[in-house]
Amino acid sequence: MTSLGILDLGYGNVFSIQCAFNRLDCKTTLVNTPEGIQSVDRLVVPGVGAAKTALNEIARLELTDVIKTYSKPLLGICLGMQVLAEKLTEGADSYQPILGLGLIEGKVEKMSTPSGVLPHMGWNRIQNLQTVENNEPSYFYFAHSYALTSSRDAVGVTEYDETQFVSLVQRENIVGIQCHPERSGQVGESFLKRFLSM
Amino acid sequence: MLVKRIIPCLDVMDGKVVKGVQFKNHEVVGDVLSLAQRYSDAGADELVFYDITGSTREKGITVDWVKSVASVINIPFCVAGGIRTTEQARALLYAGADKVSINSPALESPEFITELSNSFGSQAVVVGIDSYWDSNAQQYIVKQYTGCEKSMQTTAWTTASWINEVQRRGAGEIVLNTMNQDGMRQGYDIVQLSAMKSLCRVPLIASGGAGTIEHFVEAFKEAKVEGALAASVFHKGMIEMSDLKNRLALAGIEVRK
Repeated sequence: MTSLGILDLGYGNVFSIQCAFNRLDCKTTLVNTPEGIQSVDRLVVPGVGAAKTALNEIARLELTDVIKTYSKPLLGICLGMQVLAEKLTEGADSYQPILGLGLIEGKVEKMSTPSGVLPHMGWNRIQNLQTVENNEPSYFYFAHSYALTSSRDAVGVTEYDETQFVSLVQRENIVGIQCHPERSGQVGESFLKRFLSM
Repeated sequence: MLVKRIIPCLDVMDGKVVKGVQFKNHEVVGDVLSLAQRYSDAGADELVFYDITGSTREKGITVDWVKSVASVINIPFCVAGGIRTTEQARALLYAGADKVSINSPALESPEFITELSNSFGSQAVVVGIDSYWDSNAQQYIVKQYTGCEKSMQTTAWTTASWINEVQRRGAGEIVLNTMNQDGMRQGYDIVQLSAMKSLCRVPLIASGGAGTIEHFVEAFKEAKVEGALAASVFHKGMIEMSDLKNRLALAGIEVRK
């Protein structure tokens, strides 16, 4: 039985993610040390809150290098996906974006849509993602105002208010998803299952 | 494309789901966990748990109870009622709530909205507004402490000015409860919702008055709200979630099925 670690930075939706994996009969461990991260076979980087706070906390706990060199399957969820990117504008001053972990190519920026209605909140589709065999639309739950605008590592995109953003990325062992699979019904469960079989 | 959300609201009093008419005469309609599970299975897009004892009786919400909901259901949910401090909100969000919703405490201290938004992000902060058509003043005004008739007060805010204020302070979603309609099942207040929607740069959720499937169609097609909240029509089995979603799809409204 392989072990699944959830990065616990003392904020956000850690418990919801634990529950989601528990419903799949997968036991979870909360990790926040370099040794803890190295000891697990899979790592989930969750996230709700502010990118800068999360990145500062990762640096303070001296986890930056161990996450950057993690070679086993890693899943970033929502803000946890955003911090994997090269650059982020949230919490940055107007001229200089802050640096992410750089595991995924691209820049995370505040979304800009014709209606101006943000956050992008609710159920939306991820295109190019085969979550079910019969090609029925698969809806995931989103709640965010910042997004990866484009990325060479994009695997799935989502359209909101005539604007497209990257909602799913993968580079080798690194996967990132902008929505909340732990809150996305059976579609989300299937996604988490696939991560467990990676 | 972002789909329209159907949001059953479970008014919770002493651990049971209840429903009153125009905020009065509460009757027990079921158990929290079993109703949460039932709606989640039926295809609800989100749930709101509103502890109606909260604001009026100075009673907080049990974190354990939220935890048990979070471990059972796999759709997002929001917790409302009696949240007065950042620490209370933190405890609920850690316990698995996706959002917290505040109403009277935001009116007491608008700064509280800013505080929550800065701490947890605007996507976690919903502001509920109880709006009443004042026929003397000929405008929509905001009411406070509506959970109990005796404590209910009229505030100095017009609904429009309060909507602008809560957005300026970082609210990520607004639930507009049109009190003249609540529990009457005569339809959402399309005129008011349409007027207020034009002021919103965050998602707007309609609340109060749903009685038939047609009322949901109107709210989405005419008032163009992002979501519609309802309680009694679901609790009493007057509308089945699958019928509602099918009918909305037939009307050309994209829904999650």
